[in-house]
Amino acid sequence: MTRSSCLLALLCASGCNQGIEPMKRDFADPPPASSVVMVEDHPALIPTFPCSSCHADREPDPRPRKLVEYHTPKNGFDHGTKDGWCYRCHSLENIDRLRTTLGTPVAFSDPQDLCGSCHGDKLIDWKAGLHGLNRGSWNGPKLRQSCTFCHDPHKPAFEPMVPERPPDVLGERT
Amino acid sequence: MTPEARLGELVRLRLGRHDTRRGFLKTALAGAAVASASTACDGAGVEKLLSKHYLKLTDEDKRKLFARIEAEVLARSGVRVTVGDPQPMAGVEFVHALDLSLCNGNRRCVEACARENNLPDDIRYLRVVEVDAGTLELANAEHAYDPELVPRSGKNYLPVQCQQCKKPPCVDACPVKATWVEPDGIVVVDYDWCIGCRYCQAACPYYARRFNFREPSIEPSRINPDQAYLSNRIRPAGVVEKCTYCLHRTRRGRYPACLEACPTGARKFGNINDENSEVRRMLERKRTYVLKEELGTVPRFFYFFG
Amino acid sequence: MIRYLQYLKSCAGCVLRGGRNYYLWMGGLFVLTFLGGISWYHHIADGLGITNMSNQVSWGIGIANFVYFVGVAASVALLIVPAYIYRIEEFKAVVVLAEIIAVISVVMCLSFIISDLGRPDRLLHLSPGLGVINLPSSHLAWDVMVFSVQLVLSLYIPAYLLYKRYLGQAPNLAFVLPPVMLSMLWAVIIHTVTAFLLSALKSRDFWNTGLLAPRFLVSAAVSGPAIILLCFAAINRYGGMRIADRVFDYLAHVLRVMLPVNLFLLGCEVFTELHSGTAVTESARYLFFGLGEHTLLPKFIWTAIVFDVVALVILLVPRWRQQPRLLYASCALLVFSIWVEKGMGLVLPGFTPSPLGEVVEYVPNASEIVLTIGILAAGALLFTAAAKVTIAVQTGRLRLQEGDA
Repeated sequence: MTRSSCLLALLCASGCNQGIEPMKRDFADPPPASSVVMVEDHPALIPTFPCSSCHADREPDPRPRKLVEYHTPKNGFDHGTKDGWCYRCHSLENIDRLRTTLGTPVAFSDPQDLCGSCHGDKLIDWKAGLHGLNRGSWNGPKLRQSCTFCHDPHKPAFEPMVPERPPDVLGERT
Repeated sequence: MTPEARLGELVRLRLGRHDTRRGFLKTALAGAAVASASTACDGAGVEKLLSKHYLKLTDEDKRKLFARIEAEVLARSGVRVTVGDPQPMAGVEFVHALDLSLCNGNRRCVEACARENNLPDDIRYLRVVEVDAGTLELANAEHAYDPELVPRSGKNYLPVQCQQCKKPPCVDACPVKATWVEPDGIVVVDYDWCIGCRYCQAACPYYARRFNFREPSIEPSRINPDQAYLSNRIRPAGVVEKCTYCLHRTRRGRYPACLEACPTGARKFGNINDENSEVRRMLERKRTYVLKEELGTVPRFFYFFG
Repeated sequence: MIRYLQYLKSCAGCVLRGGRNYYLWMGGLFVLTFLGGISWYHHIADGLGITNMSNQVSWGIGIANFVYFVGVAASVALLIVPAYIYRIEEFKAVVVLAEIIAVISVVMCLSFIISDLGRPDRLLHLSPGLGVINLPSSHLAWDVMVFSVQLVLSLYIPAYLLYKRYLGQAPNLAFVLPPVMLSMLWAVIIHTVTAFLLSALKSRDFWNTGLLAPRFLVSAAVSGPAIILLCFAAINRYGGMRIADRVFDYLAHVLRVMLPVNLFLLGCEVFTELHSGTAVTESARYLFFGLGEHTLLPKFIWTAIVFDVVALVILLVPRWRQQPRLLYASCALLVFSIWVEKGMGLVLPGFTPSPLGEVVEYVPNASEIVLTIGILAAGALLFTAAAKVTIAVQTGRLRLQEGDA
C-alpha cells in the first residue's frame, strides 16, 4: 500500500470509530397523566348582569322588533341568519339563563352548551382540546376557556388584527 | 377495526413508517458519538480551550460550563440568568399541530418566540407566509406582507418553523455532529460545537435554520433569564440555531411560547405517545397536511383543518 | 537529511532570485494577497455579517470558487493519462507542473472553505481523533476526507519526482506509479463527492439532479485544460522552459471534445427545467431569465454561453485555433464562462428562491471580492514560485552539486 492509501485507511478508521459509541442519557421522569381539565369561568360580559336586575319586573316580549335602548350589542349583531332574535338564545322563561336550540336551559357560565347546540363539531373539538386556547400544561392540569372568552356571542367572527412587523426585505438581516 | 387499533395504525403510518419497532429514539442517537476536542485558543479563558461536545459533558463539566456562561452574560449585560439542562422525558415524543383554518397571519407567534428564545432583531425562527386562497404553493408566497389588518381577503396564512423531522436532512448534513435528534424528537444544535459551515441550512427544506452572522445583541431588558444550554441561551456568533419547541419550557411541562401567544388558538402541542394528548386526538380526528411530505423528512409538525 | 535541507535551501534561493519583472510580478501578487489577508481578518474578527450572504443565500462567492477550483484540481488527471497510461515522454515532463497546479487548487479550495466558516477556530472539530466526523451520513465530512487525501497525493507526487530529479536519480516507479494512478482515480472522486455534496440535497431542486456530477466532470474538463494551457503558455513565454507543442495540441483537443459535451449537457438541463415549467424550476428561471427585478445572474450566464460558443468556433476552425493568440483568447473566455456556469451560476440558483419561495438576490460585496482576489493572488504567487523551482530542477539548472553532499 502506498503512504497515501495508508493515510486514507487511517482517516477512515479514526473517523468511523467515533461513530459507534452510543449516547448514554438520563431521562427525566415520565409525564403524569394529562387528562385533568378545568374550565375557566368567564366574567360577566356586560356590567348590568344579571339581566334580572332590570327584567325581573317586566313582561318579556317575544316579538322581534327594533331595539332602541342599550340592548344593542356594542359590536353590532352578526351571528347566523339575519332574523335572529334575543330569545333564540336567551331564555324567555328565566332571563338569567340561556337556552339551547331545543330549549334546554343553560347557565351563562356554560356557554359552550348553548354554542354547541348549533356548532356541535366545534364543541366536540373544544372538549378534545382541538379548538380554543390551551393553557396550563401539556402533561398536567389544563385550563380550558369557554367560547365567550374569545368570541363575542353576538358577533362571533374574529375581528381583523394588526399584524406584527414583517421580516426585513433582505431576509432577516438588518 | 377498533378505534384504538385504527389510531395505532395512524400513528404508526405517520410517524413510525421507517421503523418496525418504536426503537427510533435509540437509532436517532446511536450515531451521536463524540470525542473531546481542544479548540484553537481565542484568548478568552482556559475553559474554552477544552470545549467538549454536549453529549460528552459530565455533570461536573456541565456545572462549570453553565456557571461560566451565566457569569459571562452577567458580565456582559448585567442580567442574572440561569442556564439549565432539562432532559427529555421517557416515552415522550413531541408533536406540534397547527390549524390552518384559524391562522390569520398576525405574527404574534413570531414575536413571542423571539422574546422567549432571546433572538436578536435579525433572527426569527418562525416565518408566516401569505398564500393565495386556493393554494399552498410556496413559490408564490408573500413573506413581507404588511397590511393594516390581517387577514386580507382572498389570502391564507401558513406559519413555517422547524418541523423537527424524524429524518432530518440537516442532521445528516452536519460534518461534526453538532446537531442531532433528541430522544423526545427535538432537533437541537450544540452551539459550542458548530463550526458554522451552514451546510445544514442548505440541507433544510423548510428554511428553519438561522445563522448568527454577527454577535447577537439583545437589549438587557429583553433577555429571558430562563435559559437552557440546548435551546434559548444567548448564542455565540458564527453558529447555526433553530426552533427547539422551547425545550426549556416543554420539558418542564409547559406549552411552547408560540402556542401561548397565538390569539386564535391555532396551535396544539403535546406528546404523541399519550392517548389523551391534543395532538394525538388531532391525528385521530382531523384531516392533516404535512409540508413537503414528498421529501420523506417525516415532520413532527402537522397542519390540520379544524 | 542534511541533503534534503540543502535542497530546500537551494529551492528557496531559486524562488528569491529573479529579474526585475519577476520581482514586480511577485510583489504585485504579494500586495493583493496581503489585502486579501486583511479582508480575511475582518471575516474572522467581525463575523460573516460583513459579507452579503444571508440566511436565504447562505453560501456565496466562497463556495462558488471552491466548486470551481475542485474542477481545476481534478482536471490534472487529464495530463496524467497520456503521461503514464500512454507513456508519452513529453507529457511526463509536465506532470510535475500539472500536479503543482492541482495542489495549489486544493490549497485554494481549502482557503475558500475555511474563510467561509462561521467558526474557523473550531476547525479541529473536523479532525480525526480530536473532533467528531459525521461519517457516513455527511457528504461534507466525506468531502473533507477526500480532500485531505488529494492534498497529500498532489503534494507527494511532485515533491518526490522533483527531489529525485534534483539528486540526479531516476524515480523509483514503485513509489510513483501507485500514487499517480490513485490520483487519477481521486480526480474523479473529489469531483463526484463535491457534486454529490450538492446534488444529494433534496431541499434544493436546482442541485438535486443526477446530471450534476457528470456536468461537474465535463465542465472541469473544460476549465482545467484551459487554465493549464494558459499556465503552460506563460511558462513557455517567461519561464525559460520549452513545453512541447504536442502538449498544447492535446489540451486544445480535449477542449474541442469536452466543450460541446458541456454545452450539450447544459442544453439538456435547460430544456428539462424550462420545458416542464413546474414550480421547482423557479431556480432555473432565475438563472436564465431572472425573477422579478432580480436579473443580474441572467446577464452573467448569457455572457458565459456566448463566450462558450465563441470559444467553440475558434477551437473548431483549424485556421483559427492554430494561431496561439486566438487559442489563448478562447481559453481565457472558457476560464471565465465556466466560472460563471459552474461557480456562481450553480451555487446561487440553489438558494434562489429559498425553500419557502422567497427571492433574495446575492451579489458579493467588496470584502468578499477582495478576499477572493487575495486567495487567487496567493495561488498565483505559490504557482509562480513552485513553477520556478520545478523548471530549474527539470532543466537541470538546480541540481545537487558534488561539493554539496
